[in-house]
Amino acid sequence: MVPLEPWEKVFIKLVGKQKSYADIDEAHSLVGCVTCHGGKEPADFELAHVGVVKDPSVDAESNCNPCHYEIVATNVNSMHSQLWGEQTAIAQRELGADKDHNNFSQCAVELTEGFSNECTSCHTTCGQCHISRPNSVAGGFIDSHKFKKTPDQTNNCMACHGSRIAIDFEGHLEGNNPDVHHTKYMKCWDCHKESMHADASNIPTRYHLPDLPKCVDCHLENELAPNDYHTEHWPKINELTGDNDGLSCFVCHSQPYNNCNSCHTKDPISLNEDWWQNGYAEAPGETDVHIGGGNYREYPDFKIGYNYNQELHDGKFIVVRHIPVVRDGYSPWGHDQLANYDVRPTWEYSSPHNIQRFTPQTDTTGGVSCGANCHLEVDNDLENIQRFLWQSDVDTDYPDESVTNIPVVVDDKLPDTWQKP
Amino acid sequence: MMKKIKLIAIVFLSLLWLACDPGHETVDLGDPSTCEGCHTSETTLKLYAEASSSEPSGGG
Repeated sequence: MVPLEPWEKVFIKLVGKQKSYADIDEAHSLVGCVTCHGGKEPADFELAHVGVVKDPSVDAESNCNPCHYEIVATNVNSMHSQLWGEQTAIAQRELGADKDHNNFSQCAVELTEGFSNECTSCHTTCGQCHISRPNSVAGGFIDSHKFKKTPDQTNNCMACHGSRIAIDFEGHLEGNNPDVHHTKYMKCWDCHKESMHADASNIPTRYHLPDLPKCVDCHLENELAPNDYHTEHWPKINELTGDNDGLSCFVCHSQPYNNCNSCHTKDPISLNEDWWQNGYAEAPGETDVHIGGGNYREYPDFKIGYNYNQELHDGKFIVVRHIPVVRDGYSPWGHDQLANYDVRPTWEYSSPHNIQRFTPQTDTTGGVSCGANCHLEVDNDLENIQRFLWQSDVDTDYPDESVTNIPVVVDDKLPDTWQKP
Repeated sequence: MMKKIKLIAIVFLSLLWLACDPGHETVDLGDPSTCEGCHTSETTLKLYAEASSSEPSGGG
């Protein structure tokens, strides 16, 4: 994303036969600038900007509601507006596994205030998706203050979903290819047909939202030709046990993806913008650590874990990502320890957006079975073992996370005949 | 024959479109005392940006 000069951020560019903003966006031009933004017109610079509100959609119920009342009514409780999932994660790690965002207000005041001051400052307003780049990348008009019904993929979606989506989708990690859907010119909304404005106040996690994309919306088990690998590994319910069986599609078809360590909070005392880097403790197992789009450190990795939440995700095995939360991750907010940190794994389900038909897992070059890239038979090498998340990995590199990741490590979930580290 | 006519028509229309295309020449409304006059003027915005250390208003 190209950075904008300060003047560019507020420049309404009239081109060609456009003679006023009305030629860009007739409907919204009828509302008038000061109706939403405040200030005074006509006036000199100083007077004109007294009381100006940069983003009137912060108060969507006043400024957007008169016309878009149905959307505003639900969006006020949407995932993007309220970060329910983040609230749930904090509530669980602080109060207990049976809690969700409805209990968030019971958390210590340092957490609720810190969340209000920092997290919610980014997430998000109508304008930050439909007019401007989001606050997290310092704003700026997308297209001359034109209200865009469909947000801009690069300047809106990927401005926030950068380190874990954009980098993968566009293939920026060294050694990776772009997601095959990107190479077919597909956009976020070609798969993501769930309502971004849906009221999610009664939904515990984003994975409970209706109409989330599923691979099987487009891809059938043997869509091209009979495929033994699909027949064997397609996610399904085991008729004997009733448990999930098979593999998440991502286990075979995703490439390495970014992982993070420490929580990306700022230091409110020193307002140290570099806290994300200073507060980061590099673990011995990490390689190729780099500075990501969010300006905090991340590292590519690929780990297969056990699907401990089979209600939510298909397959017995899933791809898991190390997420940036540590026991004292909110100490910059004045909260020393998360009281129930151990109840929720720090390697969480992931759906890397870097899908390829042929990945290191499915590479059958030379006529070998792709099982040779994953199965841990006697003659398999160290590389295959490293594709899985083992308790010993966690114990060695992240000893404080040993207990919390017991549900997701694969140690006792793989065939007995397979090698162990 | 129809193919040739189509081709000629496409070429002709393309040339016509190019000739009439106003391009990306910007329009400056020029009255800085109004919101629109200022915010449609690259020159004015740059001047204010140089004079002010703070971020301009608007733009989320």
